[in-house]
Amino acid sequence: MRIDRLIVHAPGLSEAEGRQLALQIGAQLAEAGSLPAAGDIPRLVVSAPVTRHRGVPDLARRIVDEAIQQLRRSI
Amino acid sequence: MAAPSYLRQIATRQATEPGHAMLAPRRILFRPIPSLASRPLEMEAEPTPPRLALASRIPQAAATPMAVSSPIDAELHMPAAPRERELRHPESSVPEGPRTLLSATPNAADQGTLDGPARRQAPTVNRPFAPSLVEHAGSGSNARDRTSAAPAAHRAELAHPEPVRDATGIFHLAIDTKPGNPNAGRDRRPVFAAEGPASQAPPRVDQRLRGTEMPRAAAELITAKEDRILLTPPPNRGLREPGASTKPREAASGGVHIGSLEVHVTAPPVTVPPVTAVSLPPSFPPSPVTRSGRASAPLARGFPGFGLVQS
Repeated sequence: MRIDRLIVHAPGLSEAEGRQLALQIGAQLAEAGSLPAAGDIPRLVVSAPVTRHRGVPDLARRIVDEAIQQLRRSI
Repeated sequence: MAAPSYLRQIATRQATEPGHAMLAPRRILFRPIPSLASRPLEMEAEPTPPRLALASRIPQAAATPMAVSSPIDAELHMPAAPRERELRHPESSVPEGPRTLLSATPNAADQGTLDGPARRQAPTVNRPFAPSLVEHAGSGSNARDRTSAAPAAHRAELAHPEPVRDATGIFHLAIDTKPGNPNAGRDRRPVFAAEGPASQAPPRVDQRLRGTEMPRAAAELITAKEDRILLTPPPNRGLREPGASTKPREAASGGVHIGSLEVHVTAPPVTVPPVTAVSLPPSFPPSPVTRSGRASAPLARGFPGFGLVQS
């Protein structure tokens, strides 16, 4: 999987948390399985509600799950 | 008894017959003559065959009167025009092209006498005005040409006792500076290079290319290369259209390609409880709201500001 551009809009998070969230999203997407063999998606938008009490890793996991689902639907 | 000199004849004629005085002799009489050419007046009256004087290449005396009786003959007492080789600067590489143009000049009259009989009969009336024409044409030339022509005239004067006019260099300039001269392209002297705006435009382009020391083809290649550089988009992936230029690479490598992944983290939904009826505490039983009751209620509870104490 290759992602040219990753944009994170997190109004409730700080800059450091947003950076950590982006890194965890990329790492989890790289480790995720059951992805389509090939495909090209110009733009993919994933929305997830913030959960402070669970932390950033949990938020990243939910975002990755949502992204994988959209990828499966799109490709 | 020797015949009176020509000048004396003119002087006598002018004194006796003022009406017959000519302007041309006046010019000749008052024209400055170099010191080397100063001779007795009697020597000027020596009869010499005109054809021999004109056609001869040997430097000799310039006195070539054709007919003493004619008042115009005085014009022949002008110093002999310098020869063809004396007209040119010894160091300059003036080609032989301008000879055709020289036919309009007084110096070409001598050449014409050598070429054929038709020109041999050329009227000599215009001869005295030749120096004036030369001087007038040379007035427009620059001082550098005058200085360059001066040494040649000086050498020619030293070589020949004949007075050589200093208009030799100016003579050529007056001819070659005409626009449309076919010899302008072959003459490398600066004075010819600066002549004529039409013939000057192409050399300007060459001069520009020569200053950069690169051929024309190289300059064109550089220009085209610059154009290509401007037309080439910058190698910035962020500014390219996502997914458009990466398809070939995706097809080659395989896998999933996401051009732009946007993650929107939204705030958790706020669970607002439904608005219900506010239940007042039992210590404050609802009292009937009346106009007087609004002000009486604090007072009823006791308001120390008024100094009232509810009993």
